[in-house]
Amino acid sequence: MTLPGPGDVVRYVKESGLWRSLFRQPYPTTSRTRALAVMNNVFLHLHPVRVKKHAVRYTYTFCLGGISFFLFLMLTVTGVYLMFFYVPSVARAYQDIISIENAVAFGQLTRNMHRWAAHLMVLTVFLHMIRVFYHGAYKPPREFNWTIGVLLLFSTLWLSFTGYLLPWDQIAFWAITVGTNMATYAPFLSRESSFWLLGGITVDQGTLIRFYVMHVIAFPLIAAILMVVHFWRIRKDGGISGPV
Amino acid sequence: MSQLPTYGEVHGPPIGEMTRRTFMRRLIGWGVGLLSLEFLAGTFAFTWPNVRGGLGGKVVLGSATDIVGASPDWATGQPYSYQKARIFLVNVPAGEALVDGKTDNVPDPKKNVLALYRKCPHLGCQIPQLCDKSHWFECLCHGSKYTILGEKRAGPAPRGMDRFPFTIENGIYVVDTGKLEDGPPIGTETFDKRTIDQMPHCAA
Repeated sequence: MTLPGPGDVVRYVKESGLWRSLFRQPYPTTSRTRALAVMNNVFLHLHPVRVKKHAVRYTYTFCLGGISFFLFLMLTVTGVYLMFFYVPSVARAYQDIISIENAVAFGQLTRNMHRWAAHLMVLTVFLHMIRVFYHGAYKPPREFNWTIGVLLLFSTLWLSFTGYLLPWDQIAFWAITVGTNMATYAPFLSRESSFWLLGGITVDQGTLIRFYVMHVIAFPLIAAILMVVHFWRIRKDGGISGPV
Repeated sequence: MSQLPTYGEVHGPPIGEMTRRTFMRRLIGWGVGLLSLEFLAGTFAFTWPNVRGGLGGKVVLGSATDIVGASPDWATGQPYSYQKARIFLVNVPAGEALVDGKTDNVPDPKKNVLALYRKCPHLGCQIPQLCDKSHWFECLCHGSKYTILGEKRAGPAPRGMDRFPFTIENGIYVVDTGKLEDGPPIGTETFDKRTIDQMPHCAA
């Protein structure tokens, strides 16, 4: 009796139903199998099978949209970590931030990553918009995607604004006081909009929990849905716009 | 021109009539639209702030005796700061006497009080207790100044201090912090006609 060699084990694994359900075509060596590999994979299929040469030149896009998306993912991950220690209560919030910084392993790193990524995301989204504008990439057939992009800008700004209150320090309190005061200058529903935003008539517990919910659930979800449409539309509109 | 049907033409219903399919489609369309609107309205109703008994609702301050008990110099004109309602309760007759440099003891001014909201109508800072030097309310953030009746005298504020309506039920003061009333417009001078350069101030 001979023991099975390494080659037999590899063959056994590769012929198993589990392996073949995960890898549905042989190793891609031709144009056709490469295309198949991309199309058969849920993560890869988001990418086009072929990309125009000008589109991968870094100085054409500076990858600003990609960086914004990367920062969004980073914010999601670091945000989930921070949620383990942060309680949105006026009695605890500030103390929780202090203890994240001083008592939690990698807490200061996580919080700083979240904060800096948030600042950077506002910047990269803004620069991305400028890049698209100066390339004229908002023109037909991409005008719908430009609109989605504007909504994503608003989502980014709103996420930034709601997150600003959460440390519950002086700058947070007064920033939201001034910010929500602006709502009182809105036409028709001036006091109502401020009342609804604040969850009362001043920045208080009602405001903190409201902003927290919008920051950690409502707007990340809205932004994610908009991003799905945004990325899909790039493909549907013929990829990254060509040089004028 | 001939009316020959072209290839692939879909025959529609005669003008003025509706097919069963169109009827059903419109019914579903309007139904889903209506439900979405109801859901949106329900969301706003659900998330509408609940302020019963706290700031934004009706706040009970107690009787005049309670207030004098909590803050004895209220009877001689010092505004009573009630933090739960974020107000200064101004004893108007005693307060006017205080500004005039007299001492008038009014332990129960009845309806003759003002519930001034402490949030500065400029940018929302909390206005501190009456300035001892000027007997004005002086916001430390940007220097808006108001008389003891909340009438604007100086600074960047767009109007006088906002105020809440109040009721006296069986001698108990109840302030309705849900109904903020705009402060008097700039130029209102019912009392204390001093100008900014006539006395020292707490805020620059």
